[in-house]
Amino acid sequence: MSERAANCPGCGAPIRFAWSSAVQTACPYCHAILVRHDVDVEKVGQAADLPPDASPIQIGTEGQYADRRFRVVGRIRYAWAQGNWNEWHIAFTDYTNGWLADAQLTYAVSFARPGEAPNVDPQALRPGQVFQFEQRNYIVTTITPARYEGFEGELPFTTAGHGQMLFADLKTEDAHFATLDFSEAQPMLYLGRELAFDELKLTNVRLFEGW
Amino acid sequence: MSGPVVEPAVVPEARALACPNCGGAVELRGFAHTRSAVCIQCLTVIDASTPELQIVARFDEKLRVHPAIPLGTRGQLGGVRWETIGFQVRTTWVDGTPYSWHEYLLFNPYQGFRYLTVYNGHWNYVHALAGVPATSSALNGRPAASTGGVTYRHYQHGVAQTTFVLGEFPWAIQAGEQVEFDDYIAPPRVLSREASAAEVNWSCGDYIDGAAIWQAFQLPGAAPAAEGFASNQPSPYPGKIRAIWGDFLKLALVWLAVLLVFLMLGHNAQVAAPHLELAPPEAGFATAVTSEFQLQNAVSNLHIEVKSSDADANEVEFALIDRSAGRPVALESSGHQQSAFGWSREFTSGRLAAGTYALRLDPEGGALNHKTEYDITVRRDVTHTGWLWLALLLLAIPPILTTLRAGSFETQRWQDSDYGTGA
Repeated sequence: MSERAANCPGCGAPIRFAWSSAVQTACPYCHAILVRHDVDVEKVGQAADLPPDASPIQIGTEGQYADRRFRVVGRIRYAWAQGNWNEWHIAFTDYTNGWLADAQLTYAVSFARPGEAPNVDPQALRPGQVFQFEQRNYIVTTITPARYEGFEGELPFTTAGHGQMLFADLKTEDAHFATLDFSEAQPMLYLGRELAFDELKLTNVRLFEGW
Repeated sequence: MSGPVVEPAVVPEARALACPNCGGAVELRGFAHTRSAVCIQCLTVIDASTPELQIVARFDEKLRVHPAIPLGTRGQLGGVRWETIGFQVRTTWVDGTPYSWHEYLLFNPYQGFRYLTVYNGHWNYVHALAGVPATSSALNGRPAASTGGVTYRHYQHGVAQTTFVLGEFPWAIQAGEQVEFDDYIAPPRVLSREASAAEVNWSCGDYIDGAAIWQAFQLPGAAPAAEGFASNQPSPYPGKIRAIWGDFLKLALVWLAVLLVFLMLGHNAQVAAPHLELAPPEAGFATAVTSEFQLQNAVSNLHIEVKSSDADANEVEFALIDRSAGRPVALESSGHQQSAFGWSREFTSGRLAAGTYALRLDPEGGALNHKTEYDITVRRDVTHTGWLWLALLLLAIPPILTTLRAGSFETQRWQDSDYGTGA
């Protein structure tokens, strides 16, 4: 993993990248949102303090998916009408990346599938609609308007310039899972699987007082 | 400069809230997951997701239900340590009659949330399903749902309303919230589909004994006995049926051995085969006596069959005559067949001593104008296995009864469903 360093334009703190392809990071000291250029980082905004959170996952948590080890390098926290969830950005030892979602302690690992999203109008999307990806039937279960609530660590894109976004979650009969992300002009497809906590074999998790 | 601003690696316990209605302390166990909490003193439902602590609803003190598992109790289920943090009473109305069950929300800060439901002492350990079961109306027009290679049969549709709440929940509680539910069963499991205006949720419950719950949560006393039937209660009969038919099979093998021994001991040897002809005018009424035959040794029985290929031939009375003793021997009728081509009768004697015997035929009826022939076969030491077959029938009664009871258990299981006669 790359360890190229830069300095935070906000507070001067050293910024290190654990994942070589990171586009954005948040300064762990002053919460400045930094977008990476060739050698430098540019401050594009200020991340709000993350509200208290009870996820057992943190930056630096390591785990396993399909016999490959990953490390949590970043996080986006989303808020929606009924609460919030975390998308933890995970980097695998082979430099590929994915997402570990944690919604009220329901966990799913998914991967971006650029160019594979169906051309659908998000306004016409309804729960119960069926899409087929990789010979599996995916049923639209929820359509969720959401917004960014906070960031941490390294991300593969910049979060600047987004207000309300729309996500559709799809499920199969056998715990496969898809998200259609309508935050860009072109929808983005993510495919993955819901997993039990024990299947993720997480280490370096947070501890809970009294547990 | 201080260190990086990160969330603590040890999540502190949530501080108790002050109830906006009565000021009492509302203890929190679900860390930042809790969105709704109920004040245990005054039953006020509080929106715990914002610092404003808005009052959502309040339950009347008269509705208060005391959970059998106190909130805050920890127990080990499915290899995971759970804490009960929420409790709700849910009610459905069938023809105006309310039916209520209790639901416990279980929490583990790593594993997430599970549920325990209990109705009439029947418990289910419930988890949300990761997938969406495929539904069809495949089985006799009744809807079915399948997931993980198991097909569940539709049991019941209804509307459930939350009628009482205690503790805390990771979702917003709305007073009187209603969901439509459909239960599909494959004992010991039940799949439940709950649909509100906003979303559809699938869950899967595993039937669990009250005693196991008492053990897991170290509750005092004994679990109340389960009453009536639960839709997904495992039938006690499949195991019993296997065992009792297994026993029957063993007994039947012994029976078969006994039968074989009897058949081998029997000689079934032919002693004589006399042929009698009665020509007119005697045909039809004259008494005839067969040639004599010898029994070299004592026999356990004689089996005599008389046949006539003449359907008009008169029935005959038979007598076995012991020539040595000069008296008739009692015979028992053991068979009678009649057809358009003639008739046959069978007789059996008891134990007989060695000696000389003959058969006397007494046709019963009027004279016949044609010759009548009788073919007689006399066999000795014939094995009679009729009582053995009766014994086999008796042996089969208990397993047959158990099988019938299993069927009636399944009938009663479906009694309260949308498809039962009682529904």
